[in-house]
Amino acid sequence: MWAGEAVAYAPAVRRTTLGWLVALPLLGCPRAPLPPGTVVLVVESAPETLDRRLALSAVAENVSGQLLEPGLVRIADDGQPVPDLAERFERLDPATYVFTLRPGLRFGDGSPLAAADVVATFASVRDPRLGSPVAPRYAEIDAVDALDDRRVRVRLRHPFAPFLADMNLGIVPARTLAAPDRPDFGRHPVGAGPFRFAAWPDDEHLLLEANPFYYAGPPPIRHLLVATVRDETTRLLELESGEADVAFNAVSPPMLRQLATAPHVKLLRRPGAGTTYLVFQFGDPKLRDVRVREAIADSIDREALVRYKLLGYGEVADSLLPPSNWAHAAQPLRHRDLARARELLDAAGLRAPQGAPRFTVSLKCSTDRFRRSIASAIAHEIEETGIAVRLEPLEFGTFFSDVRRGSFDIASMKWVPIVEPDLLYWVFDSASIPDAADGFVGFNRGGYRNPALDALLEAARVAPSRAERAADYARVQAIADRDLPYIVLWYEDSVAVVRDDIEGLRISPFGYFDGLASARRVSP
Amino acid sequence: MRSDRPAKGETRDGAPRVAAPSRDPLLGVNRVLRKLGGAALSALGATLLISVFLNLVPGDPVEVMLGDRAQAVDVAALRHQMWLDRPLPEQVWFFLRDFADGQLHSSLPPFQERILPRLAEVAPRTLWLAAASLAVAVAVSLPLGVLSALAAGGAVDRMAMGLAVLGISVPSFLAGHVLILLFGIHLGWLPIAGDDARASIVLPALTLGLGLSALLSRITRAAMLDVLREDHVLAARARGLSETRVVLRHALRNALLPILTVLGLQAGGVLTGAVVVEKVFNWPGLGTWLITSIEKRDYNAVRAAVLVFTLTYLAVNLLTDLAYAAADPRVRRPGGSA
Amino acid sequence: MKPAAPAMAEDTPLSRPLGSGAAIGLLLVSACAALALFAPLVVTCPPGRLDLAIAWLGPTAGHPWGTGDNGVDVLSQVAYGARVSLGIGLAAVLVSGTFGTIAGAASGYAGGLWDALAMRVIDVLLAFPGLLLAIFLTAVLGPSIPGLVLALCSTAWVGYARLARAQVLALREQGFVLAARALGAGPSRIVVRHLLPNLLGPILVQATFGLPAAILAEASLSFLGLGVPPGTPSWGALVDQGMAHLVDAPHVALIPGAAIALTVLGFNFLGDALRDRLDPRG
Repeated sequence: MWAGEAVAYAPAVRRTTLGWLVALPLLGCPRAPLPPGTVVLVVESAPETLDRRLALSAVAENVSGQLLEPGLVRIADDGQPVPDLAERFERLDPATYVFTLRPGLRFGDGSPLAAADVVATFASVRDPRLGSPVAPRYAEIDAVDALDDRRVRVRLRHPFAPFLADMNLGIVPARTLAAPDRPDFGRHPVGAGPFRFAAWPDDEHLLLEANPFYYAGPPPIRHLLVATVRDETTRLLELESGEADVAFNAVSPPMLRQLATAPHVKLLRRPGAGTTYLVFQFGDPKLRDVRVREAIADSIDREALVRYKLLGYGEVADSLLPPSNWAHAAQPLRHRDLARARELLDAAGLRAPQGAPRFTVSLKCSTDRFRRSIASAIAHEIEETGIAVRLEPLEFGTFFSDVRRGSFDIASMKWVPIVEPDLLYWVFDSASIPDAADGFVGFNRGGYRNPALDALLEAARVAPSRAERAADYARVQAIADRDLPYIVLWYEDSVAVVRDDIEGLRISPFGYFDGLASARRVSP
Repeated sequence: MRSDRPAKGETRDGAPRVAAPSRDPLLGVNRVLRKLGGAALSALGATLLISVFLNLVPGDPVEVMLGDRAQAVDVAALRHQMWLDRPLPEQVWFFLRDFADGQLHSSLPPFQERILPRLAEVAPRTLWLAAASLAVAVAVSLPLGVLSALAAGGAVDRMAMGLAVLGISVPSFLAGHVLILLFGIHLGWLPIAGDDARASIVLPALTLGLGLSALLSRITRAAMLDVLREDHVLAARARGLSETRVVLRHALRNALLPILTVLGLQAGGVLTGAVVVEKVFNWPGLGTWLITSIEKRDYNAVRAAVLVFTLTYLAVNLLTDLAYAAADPRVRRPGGSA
Repeated sequence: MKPAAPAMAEDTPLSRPLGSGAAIGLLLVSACAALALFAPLVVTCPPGRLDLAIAWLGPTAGHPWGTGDNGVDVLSQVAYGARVSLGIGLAAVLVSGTFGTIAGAASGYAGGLWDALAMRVIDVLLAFPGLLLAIFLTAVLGPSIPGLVLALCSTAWVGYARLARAQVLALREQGFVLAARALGAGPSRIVVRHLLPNLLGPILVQATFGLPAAILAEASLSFLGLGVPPGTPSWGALVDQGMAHLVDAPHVALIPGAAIALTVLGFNFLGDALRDRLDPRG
């Protein structure tokens, strides 16, 4: 039942396995009808928690962070942190910031939100007893104190510019944090977002309602159902039939083509911030030669891939950072040039013996049908240079495990939408090469090293102004374009599929759900 | 491997011989206890086997959940919370203990989702699918098998059995998609996926049921041929009873037991077939849950789902066995009929 | 799936003549084998050629059966896929049949603790969802044809083992075996010289049904994305590709699907006929 908590089953038999087996026939009763006018958002997987501090999956981060529990700042479309619950923030010195909360803030349950809640939230996320997976992001913080009811001071151990983007951590009421490992919060969250928690009757269905205490006023959508539909075809059909109203980036381009002509459905799109790329393993002596990497880059026809595989829902990439990002620096676009690719390989001394390939590389990708199909097209293009490519699609868990450990020659991957340009440090700095000792946390999985680049990346982290950071990152992007530790392929569009009676939906380049706060259903 | 269809050489090979699947000559309580002990060992073995595999397969839940994310997380702490740093026997022991007292939680961060309510949500859907498929199979194959046996050797027989072989030759995922295309999309009569309407069951049950009925009609035919030769049927015929009466009252009734037995032995095939059919129709049952749990590396969920699959298989087999022993004097007789 | 314990079964052979069935079976199987053998003569373009611009098209002069994902030629995929499907099926049957027969015969002959242990392993494997074992094995071994064959064999051998064991249990007490033992023949000699030849009939019948089962299983794994490595033409993989385009390009899934169904049908018909001839209990 929607109104109740969780599923209705006999309390007497809920504790034991035997009890569950007895209770089996009682379950699966038809659900109570949804409140009229409910807008249905379909997502690909169910959020594992609604506690922003514990969320790991993209859906959980999005629902908890964007809809239920906003933070001091939010991320603007260009990747900059801008005020959210805080009305402003100032830097007192290179390592000290003061955030001033908006006046009269309230949580969804009507209780006031004050500086003490902010302090408690940051204390809890850094408390090892909570076991928050995002705790390392706050490792640079030395202290968080309340200056008064509305002002919070954050002191860092040392100047660290990227930290502001992580101040979007969802603020939760201090009183719910009395026990730091209290497990219930993720099932019954309380936050100050545009929506508040209503019911979570089963894994696939989460009901939210408009938060009357939201600082910007309650959103026009009164009830929002977050429905999990794991199968892509089913998501598509539910959107076509009107069972679902909105999906963000949950339908792949081949299916979008079908939706583009469907009645009562509209596609909203804007350039996205996620970059698809190939990464090279520098441990391989052949791939360590920049001429080989360049030849492979030259062999790929990115315009054709965007046209035929993405069906135009994307644009050819020139840098790891998307053009919408404030630190993006345009690089010259590469076009397919097979003759040049072959010359480069010849020059690298990798001539093909009569009829045989020059050499063989493996290209790893995930078994997802769409990604695998793209990877086989790319492999085919590379093979035209005379290099033999062994395509290895791996089930996602296996694939990702291999990639993290650097066990690949070339891997085809896609970054989730990129927000903070400090990602470049994690991806290209030699300090970010993953190893077993640190649990493979770094993202420089190819083992690329360039001291000049390292210096720039480290300078950008402590640079006092955004302009100086941007200048550093521009030089980093130029070096990466020359050294080619990655081949950036394209940015996939951020696409929302929406029923035509939904108006005012804003789409985010990051695939965030926050655009729902401004959407409304117009009466037919 | 066993594929999505319950029909394999071994069973088809076994089909004509169902009249006396007598087994251990042991009797009564002793026999039941031995069977139960064997079943418990098999279940434990399956849990161990799956745990060994889970430890061998690369990738862990944290990696899968994070994907290619640009954020640092404390992986070691999460692995510790997931018992991943414990020795295998300890992991299995924790699992069995928590499963038995109903306190089993997901091994995915934040470790709060309880497994048993989830199981109670998905398992009935798979049972429902299996039951509906069996109904389809029985409805199709009993008449087909009886007809075939009565006209043994004739054109009707050959056609019916040809159809049956065709039924097990089409891969179920293809059959499922063709049904979707025909009834769901072209005709628009039936829901094509999920479990949101009452009619949602029709297409998945048809897909799984038609595969089953191929095998079942062969068994029915064989069992009927067998029974039709027995004395009491011949006697009933001799008494001048109508053919319908002879067939339905005397022959079919006696043929049902071997049919049920072989059906019971097919339990594993039905469950495995359900995994593929659930995937085709996005049916939110045990199979779908198992596959997503493997993908997400939710070790406890995978172990629990495999254990439920195994226990169901063992229970059905045990019941079939006992029912057979109870009904057939030949099995009860010391020494069996071997 | 449990085969009924054969040695203890009382047989009621199918008495109908299977002449026409066997003929159809032989026809279908030889058609498939011919397609596999003469693939290069049949196709109009090599199976590996891609052309993004012509993906998912219907029949044209250059591509008589149309094109699939990334513009692969369906005809050449199906023709070369016959080699892969048949090859994998044969390899799986050969490996699982050999291993299963030896394991089952040895276990049945040795008896005692060894036999009890082997039966326990078999029981566990029977109770374990078979598809799952294959999924895990392919995940551990990665996409390769030997890995796929091993995954297919991981549960298929059990059927042969049970069959062989039951036969040996029945045969070992028979006169000629007892006589050989009395004459001082060692166990391996008795198994190899006296028992195995008597096993071959039922095992061969089982194998005839095992082959189409393996082909179907390979297709199922491909459908789950765990089949042959990409670039290898395979019926199952082609069906898998075509699934997403059943509405706009149904031929891509339906043609290889029909190839699977007809081949499996052929082997099943042939198996029926063989059983009637070869099975000594028939």
